[in-house]
Amino acid sequence: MLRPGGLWWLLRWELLLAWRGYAARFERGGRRLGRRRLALNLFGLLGLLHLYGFGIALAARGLPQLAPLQLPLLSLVLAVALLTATGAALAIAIDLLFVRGDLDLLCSTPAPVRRIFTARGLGVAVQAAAVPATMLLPVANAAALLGAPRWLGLYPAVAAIGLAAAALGLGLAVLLVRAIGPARARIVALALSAVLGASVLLGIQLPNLLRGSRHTTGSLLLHWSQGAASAGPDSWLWLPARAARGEPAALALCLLAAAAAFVLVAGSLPRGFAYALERAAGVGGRVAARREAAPQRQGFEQGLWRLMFVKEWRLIVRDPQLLMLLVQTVIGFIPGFILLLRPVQSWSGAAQQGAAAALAALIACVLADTMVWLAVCAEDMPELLACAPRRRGELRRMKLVVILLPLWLLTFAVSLWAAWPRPLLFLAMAACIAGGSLSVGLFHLWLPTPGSRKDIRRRYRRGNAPLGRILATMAMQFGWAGCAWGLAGGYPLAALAALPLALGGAGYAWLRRNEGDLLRY
Amino acid sequence: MYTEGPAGPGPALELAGLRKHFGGTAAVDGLDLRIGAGEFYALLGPNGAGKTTTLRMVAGLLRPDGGRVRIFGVDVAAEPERAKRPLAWVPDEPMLYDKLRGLEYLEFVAGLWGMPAAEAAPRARELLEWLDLWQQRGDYAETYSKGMRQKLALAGALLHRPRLLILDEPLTGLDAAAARQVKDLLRQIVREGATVVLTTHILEVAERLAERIGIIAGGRLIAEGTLEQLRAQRGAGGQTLEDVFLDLTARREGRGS
Repeated sequence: MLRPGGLWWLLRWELLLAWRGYAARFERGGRRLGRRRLALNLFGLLGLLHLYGFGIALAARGLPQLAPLQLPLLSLVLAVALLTATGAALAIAIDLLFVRGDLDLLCSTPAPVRRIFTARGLGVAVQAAAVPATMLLPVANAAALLGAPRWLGLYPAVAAIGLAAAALGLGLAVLLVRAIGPARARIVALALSAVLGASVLLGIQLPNLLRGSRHTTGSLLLHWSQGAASAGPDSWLWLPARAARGEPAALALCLLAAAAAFVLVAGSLPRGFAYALERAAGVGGRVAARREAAPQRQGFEQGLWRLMFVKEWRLIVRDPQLLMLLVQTVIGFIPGFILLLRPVQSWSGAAQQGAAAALAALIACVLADTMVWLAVCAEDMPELLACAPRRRGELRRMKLVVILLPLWLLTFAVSLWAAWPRPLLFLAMAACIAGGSLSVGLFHLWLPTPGSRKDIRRRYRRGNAPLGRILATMAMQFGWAGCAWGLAGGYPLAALAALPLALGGAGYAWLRRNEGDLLRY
Repeated sequence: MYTEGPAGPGPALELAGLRKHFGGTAAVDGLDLRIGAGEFYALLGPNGAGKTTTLRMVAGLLRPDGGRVRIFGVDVAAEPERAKRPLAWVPDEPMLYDKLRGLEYLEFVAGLWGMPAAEAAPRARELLEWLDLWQQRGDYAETYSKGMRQKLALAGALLHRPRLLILDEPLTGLDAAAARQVKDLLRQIVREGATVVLTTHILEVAERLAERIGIIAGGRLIAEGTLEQLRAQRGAGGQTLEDVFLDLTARREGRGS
């Protein structure tokens, strides 16, 4: 039994709350997933991760020539793991310290404040370690089963990464809040977290994607590790890698260093937290000044179209969670963007042109789907709009236009750059981008799935939206991508074949369009 | 002055045989009501009596299953845009745009009602100052307290000088000072010629503010009149509105004398 109010008892609550937050992602239509179902999902995930782990372990065993380069390569992997874990720790730390808002309650109990903050810090460490754990531990298990148990040293190495990332994340969080206040610190933390994730992805993919580069990612890595290996196996640079390989002295040293960093930061957290809030209140002094300077009459002279445009885009850009989602969506397509931004002369032929056009159409459809859903289906004040003396549906159509226009401008500009100097190729891309995003948008107009902004990630989970709608949306997105591929790649019959799929979703929504009443405005 | 919108003849609000069912349950069951222009009217009733459903049908947020709603003589079903022009509605828990600033919210509302800037901007300032929100005009609505949110929603509703203002539990969650401010504001706009219809559970508010009181139960109007008329109907001079209300609604449920 854990002693109530003790460090481990507090940590248990931290982890329970973190787990509940994680499990809520699997909720269907507000209903929690059953324990058996959740366990099955987790076992499935673990199975997949171990398949990947065995793949890596077997591949490494089949490349004995890499053995001398093991230390530099492993060090690079650990550095990437620490970077991603630190990004995660920063976002989690801001949330747990400055957003969740339960520290007042906890600090008003007889439990020592330092213990409360240490438990919270350990909570950050455990959650941050989850990222490298999913990357590294399946490989450790697989290697151990294949006869190399020393790789189980990755377990304490992951713990050390978690502690070090938590120390960095907590320290950065306090500094950020001191400097710019909790609300802005949260935005910066989320953006930093996304940028760290993206930089890893880009760093890995860039040499492969840039045609001008003479090197691939593999050759660059090989080149770098050969140079780095000259430092010798006993260099202190490879201490973390040697710890991960299970060398006891290196392991003890790394764990000790990470734990010391964590204890130092966690120990100063109560003062740092209070000071950060005081300074943030000082930022509040600036708030008072800003209040005085706030405009006295803003944009009352604007027409409704402009007001609707400004309102919808303000709501999108001022919501850090939403921005994060959009950034992540775009990051997912970064390799595609790089392909699109390369000069057209370097493309290998019609098929690659088609692929680029398909990708442009798909990106436009995915972004339109997210943003039109937000503007049309997740309206915060449907009753206000319903009360306004406007024709039914007028405001919905207005929202669709103000969301799609900037999206079109952006994607047309990228397409023009990519297709230059081939006007027909640009026209094909533009037609499919416009058609795709308009179809997806009209689908939300005619057959909406009402929801709340905070459910943006869950809107297509089973139970939140009928399967038919999910399939129709996917059919439209891939249908328009298919059309773009056919038109730009010189396969008109393929484009014609994809057209029914592209238009089918919007047609289905039009046939059942009376369900627009669900939106009430 | 509250002069915007159609100046049709007849009462400010007229409900005739209004019905609404949810599943097999009648929420509003043949409700007839006439509220004159410039009146302060309170609609009272126990929980589930159909007050909010009625007001939502008036505001065009729910479609009636039967019956008619006329605002200044204009049929809401036949000419919704024209009927809604002189109307404003404040729900009991207004959902605001969290990421819009107070002044930006009013700017958007002014656009929805097509108000000219020359009229909207000074009116927004006047209302925000009156409701003590001018200092916070540049803050996001998410930072507002519940009372401030309620007041901002009220400012949005009053911005276009509605001739018919419908309020669902407008004083819920307000502190004494804010409640006083809102009550004074409502009195003021009635003096200026607007019609106010409100629902409330705080009977003292209805007693002090309303010129006429309607009591509904089971989706039907069971009593209506001034406080004196209601007392007279019950043959109980000197009783408080609370006594009358409890007596009438208990009778309806077969609990009273």
